[in-house]
Amino acid sequence: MSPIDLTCYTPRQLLELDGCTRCGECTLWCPTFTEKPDLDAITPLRKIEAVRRFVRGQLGLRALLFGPRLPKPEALQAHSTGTYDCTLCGRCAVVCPANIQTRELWIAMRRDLVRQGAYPAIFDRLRETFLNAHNISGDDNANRLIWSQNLPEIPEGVGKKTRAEVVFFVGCVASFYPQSYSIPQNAVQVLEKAGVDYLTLGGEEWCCGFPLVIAGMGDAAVETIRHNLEAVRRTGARRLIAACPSCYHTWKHDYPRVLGEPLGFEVLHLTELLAELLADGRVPLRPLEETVTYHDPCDLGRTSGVYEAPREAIRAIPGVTLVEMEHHHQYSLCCGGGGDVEMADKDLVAAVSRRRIGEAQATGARVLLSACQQCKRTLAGAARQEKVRIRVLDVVELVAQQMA
Amino acid sequence: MKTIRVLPILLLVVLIGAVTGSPVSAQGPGNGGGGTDCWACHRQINLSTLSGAEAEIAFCMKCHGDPQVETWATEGRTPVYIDPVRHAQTLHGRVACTACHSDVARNPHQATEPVACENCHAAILAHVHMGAPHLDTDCAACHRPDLPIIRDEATGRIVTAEKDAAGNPVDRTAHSLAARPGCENCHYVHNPVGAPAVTLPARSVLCMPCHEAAPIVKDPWSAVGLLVFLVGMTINVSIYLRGELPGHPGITPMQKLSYLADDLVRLVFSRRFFRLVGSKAADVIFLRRVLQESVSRWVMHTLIYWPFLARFLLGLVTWAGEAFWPAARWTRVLADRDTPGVALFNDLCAALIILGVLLALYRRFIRRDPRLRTGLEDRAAISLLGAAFVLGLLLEGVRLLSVGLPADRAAWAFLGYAVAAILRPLNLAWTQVYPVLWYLHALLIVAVIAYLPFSKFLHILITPLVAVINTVRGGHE
Repeated sequence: MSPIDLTCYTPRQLLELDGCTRCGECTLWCPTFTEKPDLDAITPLRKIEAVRRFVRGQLGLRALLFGPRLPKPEALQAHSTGTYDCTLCGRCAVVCPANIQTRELWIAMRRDLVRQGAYPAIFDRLRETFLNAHNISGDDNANRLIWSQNLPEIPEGVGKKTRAEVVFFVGCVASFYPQSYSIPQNAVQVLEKAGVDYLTLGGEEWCCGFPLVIAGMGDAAVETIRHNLEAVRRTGARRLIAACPSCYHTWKHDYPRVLGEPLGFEVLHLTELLAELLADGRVPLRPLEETVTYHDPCDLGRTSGVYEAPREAIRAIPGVTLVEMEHHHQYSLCCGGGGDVEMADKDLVAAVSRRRIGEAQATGARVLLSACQQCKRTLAGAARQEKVRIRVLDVVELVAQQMA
Repeated sequence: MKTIRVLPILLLVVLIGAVTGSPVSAQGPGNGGGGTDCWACHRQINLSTLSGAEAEIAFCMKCHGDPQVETWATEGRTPVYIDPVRHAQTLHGRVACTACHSDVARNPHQATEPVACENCHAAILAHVHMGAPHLDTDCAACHRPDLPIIRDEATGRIVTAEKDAAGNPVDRTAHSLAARPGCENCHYVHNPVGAPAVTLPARSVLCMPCHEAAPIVKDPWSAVGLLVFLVGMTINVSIYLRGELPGHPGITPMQKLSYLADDLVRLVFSRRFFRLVGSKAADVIFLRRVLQESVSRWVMHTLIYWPFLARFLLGLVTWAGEAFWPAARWTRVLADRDTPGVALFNDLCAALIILGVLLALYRRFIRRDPRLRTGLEDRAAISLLGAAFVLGLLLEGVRLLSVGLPADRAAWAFLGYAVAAILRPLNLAWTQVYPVLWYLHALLIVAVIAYLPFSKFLHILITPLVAVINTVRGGHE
């Protein structure tokens, strides 16, 4: 165990540790603590309290007078479990009276835990896979466009172009997990219909780095980030679209921060482009008499502030009635699939997603829409497990299905 | 000889009376007691010049410098002979007599107004930071330790007595004033004016959050408390500066400070700043985010936070008045904690804080809000502040009992008045109880301030800062 490394945090985050009043508002909104009420270490206030204690123990007045005191192994372990059992949904930030930017703080804590060597061992495998295979599944990265094999006709934009106006960044989950193949399949059909000049990067697309960044291993992702940026710049694209909210957030916010320079092109989530194309009438749609509900992906909504574009795209389908779940927009409940929790605690993910699917069921909607392949995977799994009769679709799938 | 000396004055007075047929209306400065003002007819000497002052002193000394003057004065009055040699050696030996005794140049030749020290020593009024009772105390009460002290029944002021306990006139003519106040004039056991039996330190900067006080530290306890506070905050800031500024890896803490200051200056002098102030200030000041999630917490927090802030601001305004406009009437009104409005305001704030604290205790210990985690730090914070607060209330009650403020004035401080009513039957030596409670209260506050950087109290400083920074940054990265 090595001493605490405060360069994992920004001065503002260290200030936030002292700004937490331990009012406990966050505990009511924490999706993982709700499912694991015995594990107080998950709660935001305990995570903050733990790090504050560790910092004081090594750099506070008592440490100056009597020497630093390293955290007890069991305390560090409890803090590690609590920090890695967090889906990074960011709900705690929405309700925090002190306006503490918790999601960024949790990632900083994970960076700190990685440097202290107190993180789940499985993340070593993630890093290794990421560095060797350039994706999160360990598949041959050359097979990134395998989803396109089921299309009636492979469009030119999929693997055959080298320059285009728009780069469609498919993402690892949609590329390598068959349950999600239909998302890029439908996305390219909509793009074709709208006449968008786009291309996919194929094997040149490497994992965006999000899983490593949120695991606290962002340092290992810098080379990958550079590779991806160069690959996109070579296409001369003015826009990059991502169907995955995590890729979208990483491209839009983390890439410029890590590289210290503007990207030189616009980054959009697929639903933002969809809303634009539908508003311009570039994708004519058939009516659908259906009641649907929409699940805000954490990385699209709370983390990136995109709430309305997906809803605009849904409402653009004639006849569709959109009903909201009990918790929506910034208060939306997490599906459980975020924060790499699946790697450390599958049961916890199942419990969180079960609660969310219950909220969807309570609306009476027959279709549960989202705008994230990971949310779709997790929620579809919960619906199957709970035997809930609800179709889980991505917004782009429903739009493609209703194309005239 | 004596007759010759008195003659000019008598002639003058007779002449004025004969010419005007009635006393000259009292328009001149310092003619507070009615009668005829000499300066109504006579050209006044320029007292601002040394020669003018000397001429006037010489003129007055023609009578007052002669021991025989006592024989001309009315029987039973205080002595009026002034030893010219000793007078010349005093601090005020070269100051014109009427500069201080501003109402004596008249007929009848008798001073009724107290010496107006503030005419020259306006800044000395800043003495009020020593506590409101001193506002109602004549300067001589402290700076003439040779004279007995009484409370003037008519005005309630603490003044020097003209007669001693036996009823004999007191010689008040010594013009040598003590440069340092003689606190023990009043501050002793069984004193006649209800002053605390022990001289208490002037309120320090540590008192400013709740009371009118100056940013000074004159007692060792406050100094220790402040020192520990500063050490703690320095450690905290050094910890914050160990963090890494995004985009600036490996720079020194001073460079970080420089970057942060640069960011701050850029923000303050940007158009965005005014937009942010316009749109976000209310969110921060009115705790919108707290209200958004829990009405009961907002009520509890507002009941504590606003009255504290209000008292702090009133104290700050009062201190500014004392420091920069000491002679202004509003300064004296605000500085007197027994001014009805001030007393009511302070007790109203205290009552609201009590309500807030009771609500906090209810939420934490009776309703047992599932959100709250009550640990040692929480208990320590609540206990320290609660004890200091209770002692503050007791102190106010005991103060009212010691001073014996009339009920029509004391009742404005309704909490203190109620406490006094409860305590009165105990019939203790309140002037001796007061210092004990005062020190306990003060030491608890010293403990709170010293403990602040290491405790939950730190959020009082840091949480608003975090809220402001993150509100300015916006919700997303």
